[in-house]
Amino acid sequence: MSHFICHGDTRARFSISAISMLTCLAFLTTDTVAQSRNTDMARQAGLQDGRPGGEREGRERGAQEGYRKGFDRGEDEAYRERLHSRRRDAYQFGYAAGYPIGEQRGQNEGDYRGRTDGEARGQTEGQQDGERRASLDATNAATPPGRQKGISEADLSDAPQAGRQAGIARGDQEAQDRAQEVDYPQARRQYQEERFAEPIVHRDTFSQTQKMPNRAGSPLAVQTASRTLAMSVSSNSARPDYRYLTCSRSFPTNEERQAYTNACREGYGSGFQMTYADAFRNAENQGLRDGRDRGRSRADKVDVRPEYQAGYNQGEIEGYRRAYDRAYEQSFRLAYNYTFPQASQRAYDLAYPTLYERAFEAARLAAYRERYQDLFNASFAQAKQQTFDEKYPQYAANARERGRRDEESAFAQNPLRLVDAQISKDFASGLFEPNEALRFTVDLRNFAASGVAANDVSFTLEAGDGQTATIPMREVSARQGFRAQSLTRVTEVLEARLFETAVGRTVTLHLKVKFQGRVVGQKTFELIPQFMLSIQFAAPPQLREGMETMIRVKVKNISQLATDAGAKLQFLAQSEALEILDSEKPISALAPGATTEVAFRVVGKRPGDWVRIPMAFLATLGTGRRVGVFDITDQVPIINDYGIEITEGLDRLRQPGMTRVEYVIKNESSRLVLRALQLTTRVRLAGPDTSVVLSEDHVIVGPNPQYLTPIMRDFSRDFLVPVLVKNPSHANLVFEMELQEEGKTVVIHRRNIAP
Amino acid sequence: MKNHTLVLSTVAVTLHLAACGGVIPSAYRGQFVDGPSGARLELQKETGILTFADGRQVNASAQELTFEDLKTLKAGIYLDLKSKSVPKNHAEVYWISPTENPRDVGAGLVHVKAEVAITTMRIDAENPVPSVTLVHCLQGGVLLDTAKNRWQAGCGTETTTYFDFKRIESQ
Repeated sequence: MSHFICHGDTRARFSISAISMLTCLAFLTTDTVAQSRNTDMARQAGLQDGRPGGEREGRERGAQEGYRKGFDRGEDEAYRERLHSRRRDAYQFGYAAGYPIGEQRGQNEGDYRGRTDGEARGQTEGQQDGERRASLDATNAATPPGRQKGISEADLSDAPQAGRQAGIARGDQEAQDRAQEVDYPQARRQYQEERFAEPIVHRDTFSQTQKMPNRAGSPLAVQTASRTLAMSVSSNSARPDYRYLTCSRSFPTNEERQAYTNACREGYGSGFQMTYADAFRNAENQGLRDGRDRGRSRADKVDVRPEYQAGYNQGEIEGYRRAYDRAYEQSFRLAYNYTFPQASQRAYDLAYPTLYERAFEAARLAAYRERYQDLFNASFAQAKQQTFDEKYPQYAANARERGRRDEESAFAQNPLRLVDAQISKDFASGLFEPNEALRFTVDLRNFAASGVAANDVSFTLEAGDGQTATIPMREVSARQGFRAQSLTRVTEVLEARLFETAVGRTVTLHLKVKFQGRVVGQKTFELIPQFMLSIQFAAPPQLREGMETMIRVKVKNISQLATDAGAKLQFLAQSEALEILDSEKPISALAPGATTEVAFRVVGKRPGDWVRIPMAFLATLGTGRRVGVFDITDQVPIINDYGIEITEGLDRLRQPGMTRVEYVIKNESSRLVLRALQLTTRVRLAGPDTSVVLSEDHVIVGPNPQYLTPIMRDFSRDFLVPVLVKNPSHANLVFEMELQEEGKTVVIHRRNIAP
Repeated sequence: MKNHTLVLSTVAVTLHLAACGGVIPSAYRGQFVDGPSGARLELQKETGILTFADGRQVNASAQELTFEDLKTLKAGIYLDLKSKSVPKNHAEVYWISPTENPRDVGAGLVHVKAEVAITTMRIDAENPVPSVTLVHCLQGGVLLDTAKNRWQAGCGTETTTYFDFKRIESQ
């Protein structure tokens, strides 16, 4: 905005716009033209009367202010220059005086300290050197004689005799051991083979149960300087103070008086400027000279002893340091070189005898042991082999005879032998399935010339780990006897059912055959139970709060049998965070090796990021037989594009009247582009089907749905929904907020309203 | 410290807008057209003209949004520079044309039906932006919470259109 100042009779000021300014100028023109001639005369008189006073003030002030400025500047500059020079010189003089003093002190102390340290170091290292040399020399000197002595002593020892005696004993023992370990069992096996080669007179088969088995079995498998503004007076910036202003003429009109007065001041100013600058400049130069004299004088009175002392100290320090280091090094080296050899030699002489004795003894002992062992071993090996060769044949013959005799006795005592044992199964799935009945088929041979009674024979079955299988009856007697010289197949022997908890683990079963209470044969079975159907997640499960999602599992038939048409998959979960909309789905006939995907509709019931949910999927055939189990407790992510949090007011929905329910909506993961949002609020009666019954006692006030401002990703917005509570008597209520983005539900947040 | 930072950023934003010589950030001024619908958008220092394919025009002047201004529910373009729902270098822009009188529904809540258009603008953008996306609806609404000086302005589903305006001329 521009400001225009307008002068007239009223001497008023107007601040006006451009149009108003023209009006003002027109008004003034008439008055001014009429009186211009008289005011010109007044103005000339004013300029003439004012100028002398201004010239006088200019001369006087120019001289005073110029001198002062020059003086001050000269004094300041000269003072600083002179003081700097004096201080520099004082420092240098001090340095020159202190240096030699420090140098002398450093020389003395360096010499002393170097000598002391050199002696100490030379003593220590010399001693170490002497002892090291002594050890080396002593070892070299003592070893040969020491070893020689050791060898001689060993040659005179009893090593050959001792080796021979030990060899004889070892040879005899080895001969006995070999006969027992090799020949004895060989003889027993040979006898067994002879017995098994005997002709089988009778071949029998019987079942331990009433019915005969017809099922085949199969065995196993997995962080600027500013400058201070100068306050000095400048000849260009000086302004008159009108000390000599005299404007004494008088005029008949106000306009003339005003013109005279203004011109008088103007003439004064002009006269001031004409004289001030020259007077200022001349006086400034004189002031500068005088000021410099004054400055130098002041500087000469400053005490520069501190600078002298600082220079002295620094010189002393540097002189000391340089001299000290040089003296120290020289003295150290001299002292070290003098002390080292003496200490080394003393240590050498002192240690050598003792070290010699130690080395000698060590060499002697080592050589003795080596030689002794050589002599011992030579005799030992020879005597051992000789003895073994002499004695083994007889020991072997004896062992074979004993073995044959023992086996013959064993056959007489236990004529019933286990020839083979196998597992027979209920289902031809090619798998050992949990809960499937496993029975055993046993082939037994009776070598006796007479029959074996049924009650002399029993079968036992044990699980290696009690938590892997159930065995209804652990021991049972044979249902029939065994005829003389017979081979009998016994079927349906005992029964085991594998636990579901053992699926995928190795289960060990031990089957034993006893004759008159003695174990005469046993076989261990290792099985890995598996369900017909392998079940696993087809995709990591995810939940959406209030939203329907699918949990998908992949079912694969890993057996050799197809599932039947009635096969189905059941989904069980015990968690309030999850609602399963359809818990059972058909699988139908699934061929061997075939895979199918089954999806279950679920709704997340809880807000948050993750929830831990125990889940189980059970597969059964039409007959009810369970053929697959997938039991898992998993951390399931709750993924919604938006999240709703009710922050205030929910508890007041139990009181009659209007309540402001405050909420916050956050865009968790929706697209960055803005999308329209609609929020619908409901209050439902809690019951078996909360999706149907709305409370008539709770009214959502205002628009419902509310149209909300789009929210950018990772940002949130808070607002409220007013609810009018007409009757707060209902016991169980559910407060529900459903958010839609472009009409598509993205989250349904439900909160129970506690009674 | 956080409040201090917020104050500084708000002052910076205001100074930035003042330096630009208008309410609409300079990078957004110009003419844009949404190809598929034929709608056109013209943004100037302090005004905006939205022309639909059928020739209908919505013309409004822009101003920085304050809750007191919003309460008057006068048609206009409002730039919210202090919204916590967008990044600090963004402004929420509401283009509001009330279609009915405001209604006090209770609990401090005032509702008014309106034609609404919403977008966001980067207030620190230096170069002309190539496009402007806009959510528009004839039957939208504005909700004012007079107790806490908050508001919501949004659209339903039936008359909502998403425009992707592309720059056709730099101003």
